[in-house]
Amino acid sequence: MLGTYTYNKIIRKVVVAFGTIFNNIEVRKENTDGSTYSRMKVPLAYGPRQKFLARLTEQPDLNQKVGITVPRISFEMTGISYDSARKLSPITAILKADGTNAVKKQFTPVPYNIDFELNIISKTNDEALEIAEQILPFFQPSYNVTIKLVEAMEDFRDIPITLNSISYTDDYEGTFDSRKITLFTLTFTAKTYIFGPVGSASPIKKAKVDYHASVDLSSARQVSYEVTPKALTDQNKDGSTSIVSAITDKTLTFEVADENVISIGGFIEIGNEVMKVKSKPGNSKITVVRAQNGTSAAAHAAGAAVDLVNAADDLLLDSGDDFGFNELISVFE
Amino acid sequence: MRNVFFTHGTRNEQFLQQNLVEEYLKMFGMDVLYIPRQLVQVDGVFNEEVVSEFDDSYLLEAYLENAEGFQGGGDLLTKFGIRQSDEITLVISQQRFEDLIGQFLLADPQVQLGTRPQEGDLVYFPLSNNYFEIKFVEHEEPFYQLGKNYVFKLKCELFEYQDEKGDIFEGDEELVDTGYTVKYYYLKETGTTATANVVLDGDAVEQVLLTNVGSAYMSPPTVTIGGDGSGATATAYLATVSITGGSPTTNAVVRATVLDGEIRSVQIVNGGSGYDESRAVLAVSDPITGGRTATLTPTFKNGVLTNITIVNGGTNYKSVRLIDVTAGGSGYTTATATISAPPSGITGTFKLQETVTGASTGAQAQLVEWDAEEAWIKLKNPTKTFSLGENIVGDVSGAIISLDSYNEMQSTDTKYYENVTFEELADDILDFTETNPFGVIS
Repeated sequence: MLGTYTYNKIIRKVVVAFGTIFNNIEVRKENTDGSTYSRMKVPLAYGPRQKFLARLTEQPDLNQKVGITVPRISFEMTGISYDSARKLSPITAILKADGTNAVKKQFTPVPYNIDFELNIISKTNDEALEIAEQILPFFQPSYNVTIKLVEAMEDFRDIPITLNSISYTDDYEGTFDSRKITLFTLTFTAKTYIFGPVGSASPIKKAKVDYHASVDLSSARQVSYEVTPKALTDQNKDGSTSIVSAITDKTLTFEVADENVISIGGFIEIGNEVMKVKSKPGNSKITVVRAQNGTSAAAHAAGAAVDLVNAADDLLLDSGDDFGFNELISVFE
Repeated sequence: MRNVFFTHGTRNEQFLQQNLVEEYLKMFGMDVLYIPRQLVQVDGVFNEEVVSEFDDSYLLEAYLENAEGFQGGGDLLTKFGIRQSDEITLVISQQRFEDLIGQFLLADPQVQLGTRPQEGDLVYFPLSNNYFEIKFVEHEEPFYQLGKNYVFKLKCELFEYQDEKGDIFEGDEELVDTGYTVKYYYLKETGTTATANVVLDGDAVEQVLLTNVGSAYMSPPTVTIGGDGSGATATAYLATVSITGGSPTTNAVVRATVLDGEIRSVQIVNGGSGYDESRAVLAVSDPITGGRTATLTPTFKNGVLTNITIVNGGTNYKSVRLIDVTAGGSGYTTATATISAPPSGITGTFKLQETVTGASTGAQAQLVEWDAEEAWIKLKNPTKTFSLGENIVGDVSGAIISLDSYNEMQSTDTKYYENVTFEELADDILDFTETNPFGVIS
């Protein structure tokens, strides 16, 4: 029943985004005169790992010269839970243009909280504090990252990552045989959304309403009203003709190379300006109304291409384009 | 009062016992290296070391008490990767320590105690090639035989390494790759210098024409106009950006600023006018072979170029593409243009473990490895960030390289280091309006 294959890798992306927040933390040591003694980038890794891989990558020679290198930061995902407070209506769909004559469609995502635990180990207290103080000021108590959760839908969401708690342990008491461990544990919650599959559909390019005089729908319709999108500007750069001599932004009648391709009442585009053709007074001249469809009047050089704004352009319209309407009203007897 | 006719150890008996112990240790023990800790800085608030160094080592025989293997927890997979938690107990002679090591330690002001082995000192255990840290020195086992203690028992665990400095670690080839080390790349070959000819118009400079575009420029070179006149100046650019098509009334003029081979910003000197927005196309010059062409998106308003967005700055824009004459000057009958040279590659031979210093930043680091063939040096413990294009000079060898590229996020110790993995993956999924605030990756 479910079965529509989908894997948006959302939780994985949240893990990556969470990890990258902490990947540029440094530990610096100073000489007594204040100059830098050394700097070290604190290594970060996702804690859980396959045991055999850990052994192969970290102990390729079977033996480590030293016990471990410190400081280190590790983090792991500790839980996933549904967040009812952020739930929106499940029937809302998000649409997005997809190439020519297609749209992508996806239903409202389900809000989920993902819990993380971040651990910092260090040799000394001061270093643990140095690392913690590079992290804590950014969480007030949350820090937003914008994640491209579903690339196909270009759905970029702000995911707040909230710092929930900090615990600090420094085991120093006891016999000299036991190890001293300085450990910071920070817990976080990332508020993300889990999306379902991305479907596809075509954009609606025709709407039609039939009017009946009777409530009996099997009766013949009286009036039919149909709308289709109409291009406001040229889409296909057809360059059907060109202007013979330069025109200013106020010229209303000018000569074109071939006036036959232009029809009265139609629209033409020269440069970035759309004009409406009023008449053709003869001698290859046309009279126009300037600056149509939201464009501005401008001067055009001799030989500039004249593009026709016609039905061919209507067909090239796609989701996201600005358009007007062609109307068709049919009256039936 | 005890019976004075029975002795409980005279000095001679104690000497004999000490000698027998030492003989036993020499027969059945093994040679280890004793490495004292030099406490350079101590934190008075938290009562912990800040800087420790390990420069010296002393050969000493020691008896390994646990003959059947290491004590401790063995190899553990922890949330911080694999921790090897081996422990050993070594027995050393008190007298031998005093004679061979103690007297030298007493003379070292950075060593806390010279009279006995210190907790925190290291022992190099050659059998397994490990550094052990002494965590406890037991001096009363066996308990006062003939009224005296003859041995120290050193309870040791594997050392936790934290990029500590010192001759010992610097000389250990296997350890130089442990911890945080960064590879810096330098230019394999010295770049070629661009050349140009000057075209005069009357007594002023009209144009500077490139005859050789040069290579390996990390930043735009300076152009100096020579000759008998004065006042002419020119500026070089490493990439050209132009708008073609769209039959404009006036052409747009765009200049690009390139740094480290990447287009960093674009200035619209003149937006032009009358562009047919659907027919105008933005063109960027090609980078040197192997580079990636930049992707720029122009925005027009009413036929005028108003903005250019840098989607991708490209790479390898390292040759001179354009020279603008900014002032023509006067009085020229002949004129020449001299373009500054690109950074050179490598001169000299580096010495391993030497300190290197950045000529302009003053940053210092320790050179742990270098490869002339592949043109990289590996540095550890940098005090600052080296800047691209700067010369890095070896303090001992005097060798110089010119830094071409590096990635400070990238550690060459990849055993536990996913910083770069996360950074690279995040670059694809995080939406940053300007830059990544968490780090920069080249």
